[in-house]
Amino acid sequence: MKSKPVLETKNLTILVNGAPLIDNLNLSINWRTITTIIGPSGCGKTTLIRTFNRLTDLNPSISHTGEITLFGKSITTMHPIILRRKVGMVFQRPTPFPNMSIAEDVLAGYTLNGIPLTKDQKHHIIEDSLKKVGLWNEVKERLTHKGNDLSGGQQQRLCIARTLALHPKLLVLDEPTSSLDPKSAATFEELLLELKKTITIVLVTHNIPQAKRISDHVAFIQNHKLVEFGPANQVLLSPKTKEAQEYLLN
Amino acid sequence: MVSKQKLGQSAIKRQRISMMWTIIIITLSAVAIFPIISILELTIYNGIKALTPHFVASPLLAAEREAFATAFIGTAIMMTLATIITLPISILVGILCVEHPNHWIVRMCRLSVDILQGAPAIVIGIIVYCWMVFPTRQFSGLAGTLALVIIMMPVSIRSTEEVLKKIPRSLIESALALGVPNYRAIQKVMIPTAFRGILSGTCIAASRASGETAPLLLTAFGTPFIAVSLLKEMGALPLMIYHYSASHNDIWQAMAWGGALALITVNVILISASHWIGHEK
Amino acid sequence: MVSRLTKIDGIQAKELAFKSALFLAGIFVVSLMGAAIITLGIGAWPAITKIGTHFITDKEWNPTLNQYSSLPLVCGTVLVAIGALGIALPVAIAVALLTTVIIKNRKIQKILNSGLDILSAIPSVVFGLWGLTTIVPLIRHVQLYYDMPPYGVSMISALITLAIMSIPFAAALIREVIKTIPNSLIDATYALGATPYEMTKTVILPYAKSGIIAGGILALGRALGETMAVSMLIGNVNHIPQNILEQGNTISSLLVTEFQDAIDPLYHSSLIVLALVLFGVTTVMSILGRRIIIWFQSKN
Repeated sequence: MKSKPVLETKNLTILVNGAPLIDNLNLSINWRTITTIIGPSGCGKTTLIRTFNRLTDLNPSISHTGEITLFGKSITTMHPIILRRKVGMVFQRPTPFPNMSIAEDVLAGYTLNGIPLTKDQKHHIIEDSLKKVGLWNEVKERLTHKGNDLSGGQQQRLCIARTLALHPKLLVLDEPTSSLDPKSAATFEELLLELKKTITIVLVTHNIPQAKRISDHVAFIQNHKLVEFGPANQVLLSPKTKEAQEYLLN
Repeated sequence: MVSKQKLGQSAIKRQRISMMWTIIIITLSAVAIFPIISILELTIYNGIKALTPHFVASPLLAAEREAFATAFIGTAIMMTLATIITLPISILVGILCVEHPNHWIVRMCRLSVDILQGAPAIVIGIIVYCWMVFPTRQFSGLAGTLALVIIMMPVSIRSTEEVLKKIPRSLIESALALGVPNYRAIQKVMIPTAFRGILSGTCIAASRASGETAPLLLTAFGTPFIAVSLLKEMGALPLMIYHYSASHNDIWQAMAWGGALALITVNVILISASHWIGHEK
Repeated sequence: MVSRLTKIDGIQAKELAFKSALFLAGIFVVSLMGAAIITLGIGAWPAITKIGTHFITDKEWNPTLNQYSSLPLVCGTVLVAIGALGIALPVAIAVALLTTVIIKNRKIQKILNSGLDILSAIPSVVFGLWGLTTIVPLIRHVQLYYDMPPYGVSMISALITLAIMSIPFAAALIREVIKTIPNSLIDATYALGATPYEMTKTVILPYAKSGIIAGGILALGRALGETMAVSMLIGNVNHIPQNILEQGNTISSLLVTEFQDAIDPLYHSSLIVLALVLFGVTTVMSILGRRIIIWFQSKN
């Protein structure tokens, strides 16, 4: 189980308006690990992870060739809605739903999809998800308050909670701590290390020290190519390729 | 080398010029402020004098001219109906403009909104007259409502689009990332989030439409009797003001002021409602 | 662990239905505009073909004699609108400067701005009523002084009232433009020792020039279409006035007073030609003004 790839890309080429953004990418994300994707701004990291849950389908100027598979099954053959419940995504800025209370926000994946739940099921999901992100004790007295009242770090954890409520197999995060203060960011990183025990994680980050602290594997993308990919210690501390050495050891 | 004295003198001269200019500005601004005070004072003073119980409740005050009750009921009916029709259409068009901004239909739609917004209300009245009044040889509250709808729609669409544009894309994408289909994300996340702003904009559109007289003259026409049928002539507050102000009879002029007070009050209420809805936390 | 999934088969159909509803609404709006223009075109056609260029060159608008010319109306419209803007624009600039540059106290600014908002919310017909009560008696005195019949209603009554009506709109626009000037620039100019007058002359006015022009054009477009107050105050005489104390008429005022009684088909059609002209001119001004504002915003 440990070595089984959750997500794999085979010769993935992402095109924006016909021009290749990332060329011939071969990546595999392993079960219950944290994989970090790093690289200079604009190299396509965010677009890459958005292909994992087919959010890029909504942008007509983005297309891709090659294969992306989830547990061996090609994601293009899956219904995108089912895919998105298996691959959860958290964005750079926390986005609690403004018209919902904290409790309603956690359940949003169910209520917005019209999935009926009994009262007991609702309680269970809310408590379970909030406990997983370490928010339960902080907010259990004010579940009816709006998510917007929470601090930035708490809001971001709320976003993870509502994603985890759907029991995805893969959690994808796009620079999740870039809008948080250092203390909240540190709490967040601890959370990710905790979550790694139960779920596979991929994140994009600009923060090399952060990558050093939490990654198991690192993928370095530059100049439209996957330059280096391997265990975190190896890529970050003793990179093999010249470009990686220039980028990381400076 | 300019002497200190000379520098000081030129500074004083510049200050004097600036002071004179400030006085000119304040004087010119007074031209704008006096009418506000005058209108408000006359409206409140004359209007309150006119608002006797007889004035408000009596169904018929003068031959061929509508009573206050007629006008008020007519305005209420037509405005409510016009708002009910305009709101869903402007929400749909607002969503359309935000979801598909580059589609050719949307570009034409924007152009149409621009054109309709700039159209003088009298021209809209003439158009609705040609559509509804001329073929049926009958003025009607329904025609008046249609005219109000055409007047309200561009304003409402514009403000709805502004509100929807302000919603961050990542909020909608968060819903999509939960496996929510696009149309549900719009209905259950985008619209509820924007609803306050949309309602606020609709209040503004309604306040603009409530004061329109010219198009109603050609469509609803006005009637001395209390009218609730949309298929016949209908009264309205601005029509009442117009009809009563034309006379030299002092009593009837006073009634016009009564109608004016009511109309301005309606406007102020709608605009305040718009601010209150839009800014309340 | 709850992981029931909802049925996902109906989703394609619902997405399509929703998308169709959106596009239908858009098409409805476009059709509305199209139908409006076609209606005016069809209505105007008989007069255009029958009267032709006489519509522009003849001097009289006299339905009883079957004489239809737009000239007196166009003259009246242009005179009243431009005259009104001539008064309104400087005042609007003054008010905008007052509430942004001269008065720094936020509270007073807010009160003044609210006052302007109230003024802009007053319907045209109420302005007409006010003009009849306040301005017309004044003009009567002036007319008597010049040995003219003291009708009171006249070009100048309409002009003054229209000016007052145009001020809030223009002032709000100009104020928005002035607000876009970066505070740092203003502060720096003051720090160099400039007086408010110099600051306005060298910084604000050049910066806001195109915004002021756009505001003027938009306000002019609105003034051209203004109906009720003008109609109640101008005297409704369809000739080219010799002086500003005489009565006159504008296109919109004519339309509102004569349209219902125009039974003769040529009369009816001529009125629609006027409506079409008014529509065209105000549309052009409205779009032009807005384009200038967009261009101005993109410049910054």
